[in-house]
Amino acid sequence: MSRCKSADTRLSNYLDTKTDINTAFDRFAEQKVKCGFGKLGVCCRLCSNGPCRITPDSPKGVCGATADSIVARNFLRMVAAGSACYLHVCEATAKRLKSIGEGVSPLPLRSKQSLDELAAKFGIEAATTEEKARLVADKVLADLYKPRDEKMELVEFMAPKERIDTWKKLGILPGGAKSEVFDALVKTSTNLNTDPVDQMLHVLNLGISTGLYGLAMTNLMNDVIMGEPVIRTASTGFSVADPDYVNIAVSGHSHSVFGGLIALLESEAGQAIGREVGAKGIKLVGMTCVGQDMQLRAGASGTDIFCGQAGNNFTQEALLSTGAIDMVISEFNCTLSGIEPIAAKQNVKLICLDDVAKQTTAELLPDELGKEMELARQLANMAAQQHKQRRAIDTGVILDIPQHGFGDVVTGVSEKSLVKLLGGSVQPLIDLIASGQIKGVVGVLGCSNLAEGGHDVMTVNLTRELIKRDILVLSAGCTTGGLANVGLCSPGAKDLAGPGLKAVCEALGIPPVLNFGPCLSIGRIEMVAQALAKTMNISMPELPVVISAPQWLEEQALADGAFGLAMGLTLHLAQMPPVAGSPIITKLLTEDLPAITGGRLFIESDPVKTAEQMAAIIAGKLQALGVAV
Amino acid sequence: MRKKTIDVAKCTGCKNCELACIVAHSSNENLQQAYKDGGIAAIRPRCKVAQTDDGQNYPRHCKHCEDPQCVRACMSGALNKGEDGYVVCDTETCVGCYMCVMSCASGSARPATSGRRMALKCDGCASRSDMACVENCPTGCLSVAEADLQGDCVEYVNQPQPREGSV
Amino acid sequence: MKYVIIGNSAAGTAAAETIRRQDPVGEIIMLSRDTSFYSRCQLHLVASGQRSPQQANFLPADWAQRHGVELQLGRTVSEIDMARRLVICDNGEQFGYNRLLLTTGSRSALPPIPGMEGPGVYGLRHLGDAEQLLQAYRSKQHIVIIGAGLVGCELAEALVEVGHPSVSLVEMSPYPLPLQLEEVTGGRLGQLMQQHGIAMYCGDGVTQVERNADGTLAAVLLKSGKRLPADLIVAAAGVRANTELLTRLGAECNRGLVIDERCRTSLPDIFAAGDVTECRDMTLDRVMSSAIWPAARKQGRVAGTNMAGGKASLQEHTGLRASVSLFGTSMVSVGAVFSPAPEWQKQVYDYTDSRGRLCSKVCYSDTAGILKAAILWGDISQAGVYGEAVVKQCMLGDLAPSAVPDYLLQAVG
Repeated sequence: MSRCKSADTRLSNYLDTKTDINTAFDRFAEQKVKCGFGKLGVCCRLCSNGPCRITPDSPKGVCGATADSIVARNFLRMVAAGSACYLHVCEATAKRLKSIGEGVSPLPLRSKQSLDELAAKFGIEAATTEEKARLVADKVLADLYKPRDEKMELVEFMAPKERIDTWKKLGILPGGAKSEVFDALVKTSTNLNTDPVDQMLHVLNLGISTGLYGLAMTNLMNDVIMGEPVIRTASTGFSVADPDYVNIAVSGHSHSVFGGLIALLESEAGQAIGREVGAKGIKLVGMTCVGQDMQLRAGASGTDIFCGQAGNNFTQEALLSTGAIDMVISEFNCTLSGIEPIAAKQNVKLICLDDVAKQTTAELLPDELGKEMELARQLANMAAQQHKQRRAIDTGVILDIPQHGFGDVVTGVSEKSLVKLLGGSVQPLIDLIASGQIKGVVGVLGCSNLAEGGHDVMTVNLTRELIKRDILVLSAGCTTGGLANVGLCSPGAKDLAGPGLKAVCEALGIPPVLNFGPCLSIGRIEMVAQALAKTMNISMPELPVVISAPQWLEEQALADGAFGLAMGLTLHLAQMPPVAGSPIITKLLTEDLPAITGGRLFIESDPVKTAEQMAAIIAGKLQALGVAV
Repeated sequence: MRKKTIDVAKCTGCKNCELACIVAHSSNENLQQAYKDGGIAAIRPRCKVAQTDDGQNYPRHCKHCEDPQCVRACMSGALNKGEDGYVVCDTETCVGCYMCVMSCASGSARPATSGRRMALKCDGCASRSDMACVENCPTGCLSVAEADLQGDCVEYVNQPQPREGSV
Repeated sequence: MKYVIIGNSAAGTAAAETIRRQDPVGEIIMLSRDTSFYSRCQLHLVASGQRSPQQANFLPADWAQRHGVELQLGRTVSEIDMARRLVICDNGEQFGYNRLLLTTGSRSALPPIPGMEGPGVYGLRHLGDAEQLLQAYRSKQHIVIIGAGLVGCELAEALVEVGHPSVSLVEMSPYPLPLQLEEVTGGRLGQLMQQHGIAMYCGDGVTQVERNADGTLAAVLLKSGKRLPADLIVAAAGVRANTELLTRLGAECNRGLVIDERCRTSLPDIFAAGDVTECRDMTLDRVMSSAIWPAARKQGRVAGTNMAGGKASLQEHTGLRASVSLFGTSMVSVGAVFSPAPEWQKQVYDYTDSRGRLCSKVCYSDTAGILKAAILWGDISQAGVYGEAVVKQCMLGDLAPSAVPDYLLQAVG
């Protein structure tokens, strides 16, 4: 009755039977009342005179800072943290690619073709594959590590020229990405920058490095190491966990961190570790975005040992209570603290591979370059022993895996596999839009939260409204986990689409929601947008495309959003970020931005109104392009 | 006598009143110490910011009713309405039967969440010259003034209305 | 005006306070067999030694003085002479009245079981019972409590908390607190008590009490065939209202003295309040007795008001509310959860809160959605709000822990 609901009714029903665990769905009610100052962004905690909070009776902080300055500082700090998170993943991936190139890391490079394409894109030539990998990685790392006054060199290969020109004009072409984050912290410290406009430009600057490096570059490098996505059918939901196996749930964002473990488990020797403890072998279960990445590339790596994606961020507590999971490995974020007591109860081993993701009750086993296979063997052995111990009589572990998820989810969609599906170019998609058969493309992406009516509620309702209106939905991130678990990424969902989109789905054998996998693939969706703009020979702001992070959750999402706005796209959010306390910033984001980057933010929490507004925006853009609508 | 006024429309949900109440009822009225003693969890605030079914913030503070049902229900003699109109629980006398909890129509008496079994409710900051919640309210939602007391000691203004057909 | 009140507990003292507020000059005489004031709800704490008899006093020391009440304690009333308007004590003392209030309460009723009569069997209704139990229980090895109602459960908990190693609880219903809980919460309470060392025999009953040759207790035999060694028995399975003073005079009486909504008995100028009475319970629309402290206080106030010439009514009266905390778990029951009407819809919401505490809300509402009865388990902080919703006949709202349902807005508005 009052536990937070999910759009995924099977999950809700399952949680209703799990009354002995405390989950985010319970805590959401306890934390219902929010501090208005925090929500508006007008609480400043930067000095000992504070915290200062802006009210009509006290419109300035002790230092004199206005609501606009305080909001801007708080917001820039959030975006800087979000940007730092994605850049951390990019850096780790580049270091691994470099290490493979240097022959230190023993991981195979699963897609030499991707490497060749990437090297060609950057104008890198080398005699050997290894050398090529090293040079590409060096380039990326060099950019990340540049000082702030040296611009990153690869940006020009990653974005259309009209964007680069716009960014140059605005002075937001990023210098070294880590330095930009660093100076964002400087800028937002006590009695430094108070100019809200300058700070918002810095937000856009961070958005660019987040999107081009944190997202897109990470994907391209992981494609080299782990293989390219191939469109295929896969399973999602809790039912993917097979209790006859040792099950390791994976959480985080860096696919190649699991390169060693995947390689080991693909081998006979790896599976034997599981068989020694009485299981049929060892499998990986996707728990957060890194699972989505494994799902995306399961046609190229880990094909037989990856069970499928169980759900998204807020399903993990329920996943652990199924009893099917023996171990959770986190290498990056989105593992909830809430799983720790449940793991203790279910006797699940918690492992972290990076101290940035260290949980209180987890064991830290640092992932070292060159020692991937040793770590993989250690992890497999630990998981097997945990499985053995859990399955021994009297441990009290009860297996309760519900019927949950779908077995016919279409996965593996990427900027390249989509083009392949369309016959080698995005032109057919443009033709479908031009002919009016589909009314546009919307990216429904990003996180999941429990606000906006409940877990995935806005995401699912908005997606249903969009496909009903013949709008093709591209999804990446936790949104995808939610959409897949309610069947919207399965071919059968075509019946929920309007007649035009339904016919396209039938002709191509695709669902009306294309599953790009993890949130990192927001970068892929933006590459699709770039490809469309290039083919149509128009600028990004002219594209008949809208992106939405309906249930954005975290700082990384805000950095992604900044990327979208810098790219000149129209971005929808259901919930206002904590900036509403500043009239200047609110106006900048929602009204002034079209004249600055061409992007625009709009806030709407009603799914029907949102879909109508998106359809109108797309129609307006098509009209401007001279396409009759 | 002191009359507390709660302007519901001004509540931003910052929970400063809850925090101030915790501190006021901690061993040495010190915020840091209250945290150090595990006090934030151990000392339950006597007030609570809640939300209406319509999503409006709603500070729930004891009204120190003219006809206090908690006092009527108390079987230990711990709860009494003083001459200043404020209803105070003598925690030494309280045995934690929670009949006050059961009887308060606005849910303003609550069980202690740690330590000995006893009921906790607002004491109107009887031992202080000011009221901690009022002093720490940053929006003017809570205020106190000297007044000739008639009826309850606490008055709600801009009281949200129940939704149609719900009662 | 001369008011005589027989009985000095919840109802009697509430009546005296109320009379005095309205009639500053009238004479108020309070007669009672008890020699001190004490809260009956604390007897389990006195019996187990957790509180002294003095601590069980619920009134300030100067109560009688402050309210101008003439106390005649330690008096046993033997007769009421209606014609002469006299209350006559067994020592011959006589007290005249204009208005008389009977708050004589009830007494433990020993179940009619072979062997029950005799030494070693206690009730728990009076301070004397508690003091005797306190004297007795430490030297006894096996305590058997018959009846897992509020008294039985609270006493069992209190005895275990002070370290008694062998406490058994026998209950005819399938779970403890059958009037306050339903099968799920009741079953859970049974387990909780069992886990804390109380031997629970629910769905069972005592068929015989075995005594040794010297008359001391040996064991109780249960319907299930079990034999529980016992050297101390507490009968907590039933009470009988102390109605005799008035039934003798022809007052209308069922199991208790029937009173109207102004607390009048069928006899002129004689009022009654508290456990000795029966009146209409609004949650069930049925005439029944109520055995809880707040209900007795309320009846006392209504009786007092009407005795002193004011007007007060029991229209919203209910005795179907109980609060009990056992082994760290609090529960509150509101309304007739023991006999839900067939058309009531039952909704259960269980969750574990951030403290790791299992909480439940069991709500019964009618076809119109009006809350009729509820059980709160674990987190009871909203119990009064639910109680108010039942009395004011409001819709069941959101059950989230921090929600303010619409009916609360009405209640405080």
